[in-house]
Parts: sequence; C-alpha cells; structure tokens
Amino acid sequence: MFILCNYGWRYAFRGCTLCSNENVGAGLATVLISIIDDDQPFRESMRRLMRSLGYRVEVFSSAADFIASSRLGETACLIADVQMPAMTGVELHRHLIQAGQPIPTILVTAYPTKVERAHALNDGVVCYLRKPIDEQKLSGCLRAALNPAAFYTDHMIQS
Amino acid sequence: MATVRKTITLTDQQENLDLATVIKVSQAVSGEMLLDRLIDTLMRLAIEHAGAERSLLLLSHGNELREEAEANSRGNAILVHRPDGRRAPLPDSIVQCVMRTREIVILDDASAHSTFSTDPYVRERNAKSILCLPLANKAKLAGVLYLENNLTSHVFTSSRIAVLKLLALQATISLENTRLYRDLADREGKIRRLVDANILGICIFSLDGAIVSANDAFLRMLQYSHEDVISGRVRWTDLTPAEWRERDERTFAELQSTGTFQPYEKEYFRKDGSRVPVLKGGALFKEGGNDGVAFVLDLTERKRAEEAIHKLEADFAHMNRVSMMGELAASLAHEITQPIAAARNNARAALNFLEKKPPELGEVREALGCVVGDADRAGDIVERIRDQIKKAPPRKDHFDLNAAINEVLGLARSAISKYDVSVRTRLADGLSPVQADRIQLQQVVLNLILNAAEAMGSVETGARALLLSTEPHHNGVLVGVHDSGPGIDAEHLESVFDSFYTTKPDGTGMGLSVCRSIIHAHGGRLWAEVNEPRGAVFQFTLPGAEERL
Repeated sequence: MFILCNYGWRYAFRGCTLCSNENVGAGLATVLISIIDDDQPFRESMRRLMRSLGYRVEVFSSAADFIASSRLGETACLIADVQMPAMTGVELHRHLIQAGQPIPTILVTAYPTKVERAHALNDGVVCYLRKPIDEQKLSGCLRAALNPAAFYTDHMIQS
Repeated sequence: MATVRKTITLTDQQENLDLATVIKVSQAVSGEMLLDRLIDTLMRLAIEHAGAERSLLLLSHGNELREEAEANSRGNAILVHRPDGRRAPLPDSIVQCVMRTREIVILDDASAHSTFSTDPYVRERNAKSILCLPLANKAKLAGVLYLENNLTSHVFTSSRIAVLKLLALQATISLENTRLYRDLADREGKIRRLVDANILGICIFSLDGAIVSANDAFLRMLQYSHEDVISGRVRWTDLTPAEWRERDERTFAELQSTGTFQPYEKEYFRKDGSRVPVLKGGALFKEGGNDGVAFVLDLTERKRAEEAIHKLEADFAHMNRVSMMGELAASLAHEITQPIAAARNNARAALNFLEKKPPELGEVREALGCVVGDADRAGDIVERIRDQIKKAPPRKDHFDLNAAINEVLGLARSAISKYDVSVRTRLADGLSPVQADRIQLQQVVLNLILNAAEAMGSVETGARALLLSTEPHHNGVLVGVHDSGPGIDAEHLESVFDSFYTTKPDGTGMGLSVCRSIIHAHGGRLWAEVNEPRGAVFQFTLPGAEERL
C-alpha cells in the first residue's frame, strides 16, 4: 500500500523505509496540494478546483509565505505561478532543491515561453502549463507529480 | 646740329595750333572712363597727331614704370598692342631722365651727337626723332609717354609738341580718373557680388518709406517687378502688416539712434496680399542720413522646416505614447488571462461539484458566483484597453498607487527577466490616495522601469538591482525608480529629459520628455539624480488628492 511521507508516496509494507513515518495515507483526501499565486481571485479559483477534485489544498500568496509555513514538509505537490514579485515559481523550485526539500512542482504561467519551459523541465519541474489551465492536462500532471517512483528516482539522481 | 630742347612753351607759336584738333583730342581722352579704351585712344592720338612711328606708354606701379601699351604705325593703320611679356626696347637713359626730372625730353636727331647718343638703343636703332614726356599730376608721376620716328628727324614740331603736352595733361587726369573709377567699380563689384548672388533679398531704402532699388531676390520674394520699384510704388511702410507696425517703429528708432538695426523676424505682404515671414537687418549709409541698405531673408522654408519638426515631435510623442500604450495594451491583454483562467477553474469546479454523489449545490452556487465576478474583472480590463487605444483624455480617479505600481511590475516582468534584473519594492503603507490618470501613471512607471532595465544591461549580471519605492511626500507621494546601472553624468541629469535626447542607437528619445509632460500635467515633478554607490534614481512627485492644482 502506498503511504505519504516527506518523500512523497512510498510503496511500503511497514511504514516508509526512508523515514520513520509510520502513518499510512488513507486516500486522496489527505494529499496536500499547495497553491502559490499572487493573484487572489485566481488563487481562490484554484483552491476551489482542487477541492472539487477531492484534494486537500492550502493556498499562499507568495513563495516566502509558503517557505515560512508549516505546510512545506507536508506538501505532496506544489502548483506555483511563475510570474511573482520577489521570488518566482522557477526560483522557488530551485530553492527547494538546493535546500534539500524537493517537492514535485507544477508551474503555471500566463506568459509561457519556450526557453523558460525548457529550463524548467530541465530543472525537474513536473509540468509547465499555460493559463487558463486545461484541467485534463492538470489531472495528468497531478498524477505524474504524485507518482513517487518517477519523482523519487529523478531527484535522487539529481541530489 | 643736334639740340636737346627740354621745354617748349605754348607762346612759341611758330605754327598755328589747330584748335579743332586740340578740342577733339581733349574730348577724346577725357571722355574715356575705361582704362583700356583710354590707353588705346591715347596711343593712337599720339601717333596720329605727333607724326610718330611708334609710341609707348609706361605707367607707374608703385616706384617703377611698367609698359602698358605700344603702338606702331603700319602704312595707314595704327596697331596698338599690350605688352606680351617681353621687354619692349627703349632708350632707358632717356626714360630715366624724364622720370627723374619730370621734364619733357625732345631730340630732333638722337643719333647725332646728343647727350643720349651713347644710349645702346639709340645707337642700335639709329634713332632719329624722339620725344618722351612725363604724365604727371602735381607731384605724382602717373607714367611716361614715349614717341619716336626713326625714319625722319625733326618730326616733332612745336605745334605737335603743344598738342602732345595738352594730350599728356588730359591723359594724366583721365588715367587718375579711370583708376579711381576702377577701384570704385572693384569695391562696388565686391559688394555687388553679394547683391547679384541673390541669396538674400537686398534693397536700398530711405527713411521716408521708399524702396529705392532692390535685387532680384528681394523682388521675387515679394512678387514685385523692377518697374514697380523704379516707379516708386514699393514702399516699405506698405509692405508691413498692421500688427508689426509697433515693432517697426522700434526699428526706426534704433536706426536713427545707432545707424543700424539688428536682425529681427517679421512678416511682409507680397504684392498679391499673401504674407511671407522674413528676417531683416540693415544700416544707414551714414549716421544721421536718410538712406540705407537692408537685407531681407525669406524664412518660409525655415518656418516650414520648424513646423515639420514640431509635427514630427508631436508624431513621435504620439507614436511613443502609442507604442508605450501598445506595450501597456499588450500587457493588459495578457492580464486578461488571469480572470479568464480563474473563471475556467471556477466553472470546472462547479461541474465537478455537480458530478458528486450527491451534488454539492452550495459549492456550485459559490463557484458560479465567482465566475460572474471573474467575467466582470475581464470586462474592466477590456474597458481600460479601449480607453488607451481611444487616446481618451486623462481620467483622474482616486486609486491605490502601490497596487498600480505592482501591476506595472507584473507587466514589466518579461522585460525585466530578459535583462536578468532583480527587483525589490519598498512601497510605503498608508499613502494618501492620488488623483491621477492611472494608465498614464503606469505608462510613466513602466517607461522608467524599462529604461532602468536596459541601462543595466551593460552592467554585470548579479549587480543589476532595481528598486521601486513609494513614500509620503508633503501631502502627496514620492515615487522612485532606482537602478544600479552605469548612471548619468551630473551635467546630463536635466538634458536626459530633452526631446530627442537618446543614447540608444535607434532610440527616438521621446520617452522621458513625454513622461515629464505627463507628470507635470498632474501637478508633479519628475527628475533624475545620481544613485549611490552607482546608477541613477528617477523620482517623481504627485500632489495629494486634496491639493488644488
């Protein structure tokens, strides 16, 4: 069965082999998706959408707020806007990797560019999506983000 | 026996002077004002009436005599020619003698034992009759006339000599006159060159209002003809439109007191009544006199060029506005994606909630309500874009300056990331609301940000820092855009705001001057300062909403 721990979903018979968390994830409703976007109405609409899909969701108005929060460790997947003052979504993703706390990240942007997309995917970002978001694509990205095997392997190699 | 007759007096009338000849000769010579013709006439007459075979005219140039002309009789003809570079053969000793003594020398038979028979020329040519007389006016020696007849001696009789002396006298005077005349013509010619070049209108005027004469350029400018001027129909008092009269009166006064009037601009009426802008200046011929000369320059072309530049400036300003507005409009168009994306999420969420077993209608309701709100927000943005494109007059609203600035930052993101600039904001809380045209202010801030980002392009990455600040200032606000670029020289801090100032190779240089106009129109000030440790700070003030402008 799959449990959720700091390293994402892990297939485990007896707790997580990587950490000492013996809690067992009981389903989607405990999966925490964190949303970071400086645009309040959009942020709220994302919250609503995630809830309608059955996820637990927290929203933050800036990368700094998220980093400072207690949710960082719990977040199974991060959906972050790219264009934000102070720290962008791309910078946040890098920051988390460098801090040794990588989180599967989906970047969304109103100004997609090929270059930025290539860099982001190269950095290990799960998806780089254009706003308005196509929820089919988003669902696919969420599945990929929450697929621990792929994520874990990638990031272990990187770090 | 050879005699040297040094002088001859007119009372020695061995032969009658032919009065008619004298008058004819005198008139012929005195009538000539042109030097060449004078010389020609002189030489011919000298041979004709003196019975000479050959005559030579030498004229003074400074301290020496130079050959001016030589005449020879050939059968019935007299040929006059100018020196061809070769020295004409002459008995130098005789010429020298005349030069020194200013006395006439007459030799009936030069070869026969006279003082001058040892002269090489005399010996060589076996010279017979020689006459050499000075052309002297008071103390000055204008020249020397030399006559000879080597075929016959005793050719120069008293009466002939008398005529020659008269001729010489007249010739001297005429020579002086022609020289004066030529000098005058020269001088006049030099000035005349300007008049005839017709690059300026030039006229001679008198203080009573008449235009006495004018060059072609003047006439063409005002569409008058030479006849008009000659007949006295052209008066400068009539040429001036009424609103320039007062200025003209000042000019008149200036002329009378200083003798000149400094160039100034005004307008003239053309013959057909249309107006021409001109620049004119002039001077009286002498102080206190009545006549003078003036130049008149047609400014039509210059005015046209000035107008073209103004139009170009206005076009540039408009273009710049449009392109800045275009940038803003494009960014605002991007901005619309936010409410649309939010609406989509909300609608999607509503659908998802409807699918649940049982459907969560409360959520559905909430979600759809938000969709409406999102659509409204999108509508607002469309309105603002429309306003921009319409070049609507400034809409002064109260608004939150910090929010507007953050918006601009969002819009400038792509440009900022292109230059790899790190951006900080220091936006004070509790700022008094400003009453201004939000779009125009955003234009200004956007322009300052883009300038700063570009300027920092020349600095190493990592050291490119942009700071946007707002703080209270008197009753209003002070906004600052600080960069860490190469900065601006202290002496250019003002001139960067000039129209057309640009350091960009393809820049039109209109951005900052337009920004300044916008800020001024709002009652504020925009200026630049040097940033520490390096870079520039552009700041502008906006008066508080309560202040009356």
